[in-house]
Amino acid sequence: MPAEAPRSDVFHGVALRPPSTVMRLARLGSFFPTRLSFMPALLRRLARERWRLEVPRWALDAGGYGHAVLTLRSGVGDAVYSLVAFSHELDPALRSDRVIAEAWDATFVLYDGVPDDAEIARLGANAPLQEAGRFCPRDLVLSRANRSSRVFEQVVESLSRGRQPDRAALTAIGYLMRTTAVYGNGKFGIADRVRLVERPELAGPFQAEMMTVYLIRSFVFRLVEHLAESRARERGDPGEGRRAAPLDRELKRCLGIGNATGLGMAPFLVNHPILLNNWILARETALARVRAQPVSPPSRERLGALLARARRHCAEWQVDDRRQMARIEGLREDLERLERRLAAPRSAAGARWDALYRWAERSLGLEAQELLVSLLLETHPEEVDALCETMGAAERTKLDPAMTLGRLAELIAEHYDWALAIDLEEPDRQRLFWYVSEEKHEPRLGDRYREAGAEREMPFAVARDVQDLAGKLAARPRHETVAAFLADEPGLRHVVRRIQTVALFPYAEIRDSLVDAACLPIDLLRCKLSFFGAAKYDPKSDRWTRVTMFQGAPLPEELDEAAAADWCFPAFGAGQALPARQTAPA
Amino acid sequence: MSLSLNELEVVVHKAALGAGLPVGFAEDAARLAGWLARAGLEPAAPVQRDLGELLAGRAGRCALRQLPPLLDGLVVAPDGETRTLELAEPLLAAAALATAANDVGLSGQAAWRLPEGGGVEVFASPDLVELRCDRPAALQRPGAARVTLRKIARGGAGLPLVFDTAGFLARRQEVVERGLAVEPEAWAALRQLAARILVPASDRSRLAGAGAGDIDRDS
Repeated sequence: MPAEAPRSDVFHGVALRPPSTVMRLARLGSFFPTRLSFMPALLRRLARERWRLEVPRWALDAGGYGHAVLTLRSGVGDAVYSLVAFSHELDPALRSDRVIAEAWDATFVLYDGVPDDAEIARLGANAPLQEAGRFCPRDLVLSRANRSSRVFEQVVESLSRGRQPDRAALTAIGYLMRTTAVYGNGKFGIADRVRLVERPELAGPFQAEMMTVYLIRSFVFRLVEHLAESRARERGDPGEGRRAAPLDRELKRCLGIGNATGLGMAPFLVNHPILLNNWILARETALARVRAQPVSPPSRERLGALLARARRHCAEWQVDDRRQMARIEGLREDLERLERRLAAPRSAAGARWDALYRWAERSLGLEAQELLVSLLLETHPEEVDALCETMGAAERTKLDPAMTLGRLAELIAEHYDWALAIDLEEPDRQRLFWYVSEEKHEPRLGDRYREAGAEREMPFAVARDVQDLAGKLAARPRHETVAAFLADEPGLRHVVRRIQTVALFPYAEIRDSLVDAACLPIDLLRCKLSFFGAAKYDPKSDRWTRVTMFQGAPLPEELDEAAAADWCFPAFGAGQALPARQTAPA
Repeated sequence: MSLSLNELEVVVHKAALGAGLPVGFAEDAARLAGWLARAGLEPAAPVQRDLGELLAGRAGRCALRQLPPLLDGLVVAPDGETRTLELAEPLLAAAALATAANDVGLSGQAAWRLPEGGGVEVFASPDLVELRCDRPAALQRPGAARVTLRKIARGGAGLPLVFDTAGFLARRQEVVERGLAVEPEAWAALRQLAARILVPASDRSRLAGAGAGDIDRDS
């Protein structure tokens, strides 16, 4: 029995990192995927429950246009979900990843069950329209994707001539198609999330969306092979090159699904504070638990192997963005230092992982610290994996009218010191405003001193609201209730509710101003994408990034528990072994 | 047309902002509309008419403006406290009472007379909700009413039951499984109100605002 009974926020003397440390944009923007991320969590379940992939419908013409149905069926229950895919001819000039696009290479619906002809026809009339279509509660997720103009055609051409495509070109890009939106939770009439929460396989956050992307990956592999076969057949020349080659399974493992993510992802974190809290709390709880573990020889060896793999992964991580590339170079140097530290005798016997983490906190940059967090969580799945079940949020934010203003003032002092410290007289401290554009409701950022529309901004100026509230509270009796105060100050209702929420869910609030001129929205995107499990962040500006999803993940036909449990930080360079063993025949 | 609950709540939230309600009230408006929908009651028409009161300068009759502070006050008041006010859409009082019961443990009763005769009584506590009415067919017809809200530990109404807690849960499940039907004109009007919070696009916003140029075509 432990000498010290663990509390929820302290594990054998190791406390959770405080919100003042974790909930800063710079740190959130340095997160990497962990075992808790939604993609690996999904694949572990699919493997554990022996889900299998079937393709009951493949109705594509020689040009690759038409529809297909890919079905995932549980091996332990009755659950069945189908990806209904529609492949379209698209003028390359219209190929855009922006929300404002009107047409795509492929559109998708994750369907509850297996659709019959009538349902496929209904979806075929609506899925290609995306936001302009209408859907029903049997439709769980809506998505679309565009081909990579750099490699999609190369792959088809190579395969059609019986050759494998160039591995280096494929792995550098990492995908053949990229999604530009994955809509869930009731959008355009699709199922409300509450419809899914009683189903274990979809109860966790974004599990239906991740299942959709995983199935899209399988669809894309079949699509390029279909096109290659058609092209070889049309070419019809006898002899070498007449028969198309299937895409090599090793190459498939090197490919994920790309994703282009813009500002739309950022408001989600602000608008779902309890969910954000639960994600971060699970991650921080896992870290504290692992830091409290002794460094055993097997776990030390395991961390060393993971670190070596992560170093190769980071060596292959190349981006055009100068700021991110500089961070990656710093990370590579830090990982080398971490490897030396891990090899040093003083990091051996008797120590707990806490010592290594504390050294990293003192000695390494944020990227390396957070990558170490991911690696530490990998070494102790028994301390981590069950926390996946805690990452959903059924609760809503609530207002407590009976709270005294004295207590409310205490909460502000305790949780919003960062907001009170901001000098709002300085114009840059609230230069930005977040808004929704008339153009397909695309979220955007503006400069309030130069652009019109600030009067319609989203309520993300939390520091300004908190300072306004604190100023007004100072003039009221401390024993007065929130109810009485808000009767006089209706405009502050939302910020009082927010502060009361943060008192219960301390990781619910990002402790930096999102309207500061120095705010980098890309940090918000990376935080959320890391929880998805996306990797290879490739910023195209401070408001827009590409990522790869499921790159290195086992294919559906390879899914067993060992493969599903170990595919983080994959590296694909020549001679690199993929992280998980091959388990099924080609 | 079939809507999802989330779709309803998002549009009502934005419509409330577009009509001029403060952010915190818009959050409550979405919540109340969602409760009506879960209760199997058409939510778009009463919300749209209620926001119309606000737009017409009659905020004093706008339930979505008046009910949140009134319920706050009832929460901190002693048992037996009664508040009475004229509301353009009294049905929203049922939603406000039920959500306050769920959120902060208020136990209370709301009652009003229907314009064409007959009465409505609602009782809500943290684990119970009842809606009673002797003319259920008239429950959703438009018409202002003087609503009495009372903080009370137990209900004791004698009107015919429209639904109790089990009935509410069954209605909610039906909506989740089949989607939600709304009055099309009211829904269209709510969407128009919601569009008021959108910012017109410009070339600058199209590029700099989203941080994207043609970068999305380079691969």
